[in-house]
Amino acid sequence: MNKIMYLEFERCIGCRACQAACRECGDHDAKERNYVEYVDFMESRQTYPMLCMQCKDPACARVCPANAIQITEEGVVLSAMEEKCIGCRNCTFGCPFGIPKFDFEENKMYKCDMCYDRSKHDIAPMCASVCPSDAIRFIDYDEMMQLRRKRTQMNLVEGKKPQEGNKWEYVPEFFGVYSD
Amino acid sequence: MVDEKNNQNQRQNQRKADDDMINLVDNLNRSEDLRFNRRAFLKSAVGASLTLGIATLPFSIKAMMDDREEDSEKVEIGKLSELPKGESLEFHYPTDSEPALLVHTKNGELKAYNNKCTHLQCPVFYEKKEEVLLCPCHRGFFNVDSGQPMAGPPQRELPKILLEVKGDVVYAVGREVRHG
Repeated sequence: MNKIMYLEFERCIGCRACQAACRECGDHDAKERNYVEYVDFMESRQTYPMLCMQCKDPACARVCPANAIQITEEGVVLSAMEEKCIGCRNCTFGCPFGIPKFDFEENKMYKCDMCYDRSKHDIAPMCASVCPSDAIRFIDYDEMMQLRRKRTQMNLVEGKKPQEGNKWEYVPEFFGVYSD
Repeated sequence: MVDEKNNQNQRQNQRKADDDMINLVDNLNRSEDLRFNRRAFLKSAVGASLTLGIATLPFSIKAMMDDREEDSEKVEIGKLSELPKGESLEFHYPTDSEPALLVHTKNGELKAYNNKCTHLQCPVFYEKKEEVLLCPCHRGFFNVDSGQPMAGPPQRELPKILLEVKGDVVYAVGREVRHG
């Protein structure tokens, strides 16, 4: 896998096409595994797509007593293995983003796995392939770095000053999963 | 440069250090779970048992070759006239390193056994009064007529040497290691 998911929350228009696409995906039995949520419901109508963050140190997998949630070589955190999942729901409590959900009929957990069967062959995940406003993109690393640099330039053009808490918005190499 | 980028992309969500406190998700690697599955365990178990079985093959072959009939050669032991009843004579058969005992019992029978005790290889001698073969080290008794252990630590019989008397001369013509 040479591509990465790139989310830009401010581009989200709240159309929920990503959710629909996710529901359409095979094996998902009409349940979406990504969510569109409001940034601040009282303040604005701005929504953002909530996908699995594919954590490097995934809380859901760490708290799984059966090691059912596994990490691929590319770092994708998969949904629970059916053979191993014991239905304890620890992952649903552990995840800070609320991505793992529990199917009470099947007694199994399900979560976004970046459509691993597609993305391992560099095909965009369902949600990224349908997003009309490019809030969710499946792009090359170089393109991502370009976008981030453009973002920093725009920040500087808009006259924002970097602070200790958000310096990566000005020099993207300072921060991120791409440099330890 | 491009290779470096690619490597970065390949391992985008993987740790880059080997520190114990960083490798907290080592047990969640999908590749390892696929590699060390039940089938792999069965494979290695079967392979190990086959290996062990084949490793013991040379010993089995050696044992089978040792079981074959020894080439019986005629070896002169001594003269019967020099061995009155109730006396014994030491000789070596089939090789010089294997001591043996020729016994002329009170009944007038000739018996010969290798006199290395089957317990811990002390020399067994003929006890005239009791008509037994006695091992002095740990008080092991063997029957003169059959060479079978009667009392004490030895559990196996003494190898029996087959005799042949021609005129006045006693010959050893063969040996039965396991008999009776």
